[in-house]
Amino acid sequence: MIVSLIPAIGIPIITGFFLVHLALPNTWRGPRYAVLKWSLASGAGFGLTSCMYFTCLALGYPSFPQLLMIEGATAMSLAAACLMRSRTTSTAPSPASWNSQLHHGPGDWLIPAGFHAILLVAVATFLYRSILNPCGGWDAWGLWNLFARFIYRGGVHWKDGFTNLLATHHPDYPLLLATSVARGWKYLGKEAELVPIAIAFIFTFSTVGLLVSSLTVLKCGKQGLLAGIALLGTPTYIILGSFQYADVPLGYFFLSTFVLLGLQDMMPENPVFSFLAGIMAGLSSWTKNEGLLFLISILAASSLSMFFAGNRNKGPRQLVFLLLGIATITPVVFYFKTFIAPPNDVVSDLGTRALSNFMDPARYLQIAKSFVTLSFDTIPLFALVLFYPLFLNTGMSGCKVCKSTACGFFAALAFTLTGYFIIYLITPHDLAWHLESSMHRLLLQLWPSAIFSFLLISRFPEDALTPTESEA
Amino acid sequence: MTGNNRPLIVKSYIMATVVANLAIVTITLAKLVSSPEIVLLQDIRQSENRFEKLKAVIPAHGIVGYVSDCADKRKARLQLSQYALAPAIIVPSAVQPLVVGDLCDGGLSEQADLMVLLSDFGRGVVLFGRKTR
Repeated sequence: MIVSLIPAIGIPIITGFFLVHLALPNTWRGPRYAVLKWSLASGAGFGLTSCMYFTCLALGYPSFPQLLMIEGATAMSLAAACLMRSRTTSTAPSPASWNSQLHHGPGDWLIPAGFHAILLVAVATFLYRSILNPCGGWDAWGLWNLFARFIYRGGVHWKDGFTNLLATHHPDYPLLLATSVARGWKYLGKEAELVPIAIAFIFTFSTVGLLVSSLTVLKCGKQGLLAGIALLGTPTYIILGSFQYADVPLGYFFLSTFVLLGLQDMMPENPVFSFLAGIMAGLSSWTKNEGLLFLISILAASSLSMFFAGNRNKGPRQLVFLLLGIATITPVVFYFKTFIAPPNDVVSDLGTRALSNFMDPARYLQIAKSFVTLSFDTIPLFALVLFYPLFLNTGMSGCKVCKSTACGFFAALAFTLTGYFIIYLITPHDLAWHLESSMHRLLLQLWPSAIFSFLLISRFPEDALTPTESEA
Repeated sequence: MTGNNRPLIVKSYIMATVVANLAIVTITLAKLVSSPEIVLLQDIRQSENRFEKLKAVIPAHGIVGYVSDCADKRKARLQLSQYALAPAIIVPSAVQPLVVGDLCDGGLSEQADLMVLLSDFGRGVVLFGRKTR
């Protein structure tokens, strides 16, 4: 079975790698760029193969040879494009780190050693939990793997499950995970628990790889490893990952959008980063409904930061490329939402209920209270303690560009949080139950992006605590 | 805090936080031995095994009713049945032409006059048909 799993998992990753390799400058070589590329490749690859598989389903249920041929042809076309590009000499420089004042000294081994130790424990935790509970949490078997079964077992009747008769299973939720699992089973020729486990593992640890490598490229290695420690030291993140919940892939797509927009601000001449960021944001809307909210938030934040940061020359061009990237994925989401999925339980039948909920101050208070208490339950106190030194002294990085970039990210996070708040206000479900069952997951969706944004504007603790020239 | 002491203090601080993070993740791992989701896995496996023979009998596509006399975990039992029997659509209703019975005590007094027993697959799994009047 492991041998059959290799093409099922390998083809998406290879396809994603060729796409990312084609888009990013080929002068980016070395371990940190390799981790960055592979981390971006895995999510982009699974997202694209999921969209392709869904398109094949919509056009007519594909046989395995047809699917293999389509995916193989896509991967080979991208490989050929990469090969052609490698023959042309690129003059694109490697990105210059935004943190020019690195602090080196004895004891620097501490953070890498700590990171690798925590990574080891986190991987062991994930694998141990997956062996104990290969079916995952309720969302895994009650939503994603259930609809994967409808697709895999249903043949030409694969759409049957998308009916409001199964309203408790949320048949309106987007299908990135369900189609990825069904596609993997198609490669294996049987339903194997190993497929959703492997996908969950890849997304959980690609997020860590992406966070660490992106901050290593944009700031410095210590900053990246510190971010990795903060994320891996969040036990609920690893637990949700091993539960095979879609909140982890969603968090991955949020983070990858931010990372690519961060790289875009660092290299404003090359709008391909915005295009890739658009694809990642689009894939977030193909993962969960919250991704649609994120799409609006990122577009609003990008537009605002373009005007306020004074980036009016290259900004509109980047925005157009961001929109083009989004437009690559959203037709799939649109088709699913319009022609296959039943109406969403929260936003359908709004009217007077939503208005009366809006006017009820007790709901505002209940949501705010839940937000504060669940934040502390979800995000470990030590992550906040870890970041505390960054607030000390002049903890913020002196870099003007990264400040404006991170401000845009914080605006996107704030817009998304506001959207979540409104969803809770208008929900037709019992509010206490809805908050209890979902808010910690919503916070974890944003947690990797919040760590990234925060460390982007922060100086390293050692630098923040080292006396400045004026102090000395 | 003097400038000379700062690097040492910062390194100690970072070391402490890294060790603490490691401890948190390790403690979480240790707590897993009595994890409640293991019980859930048993439920899923049990449900898959119980419904295996029934799955071969009911039509793969279409709507099948579901009734149960079990007092415990009613909603979860219905969802587990759905997971096991997909791509058939399982609805909590006794008025479908075919109805799955998920029985704990063997008594379905409320719907008994609507249905007729077609097959008994053992372990509390039965298939009812609609009674013709």
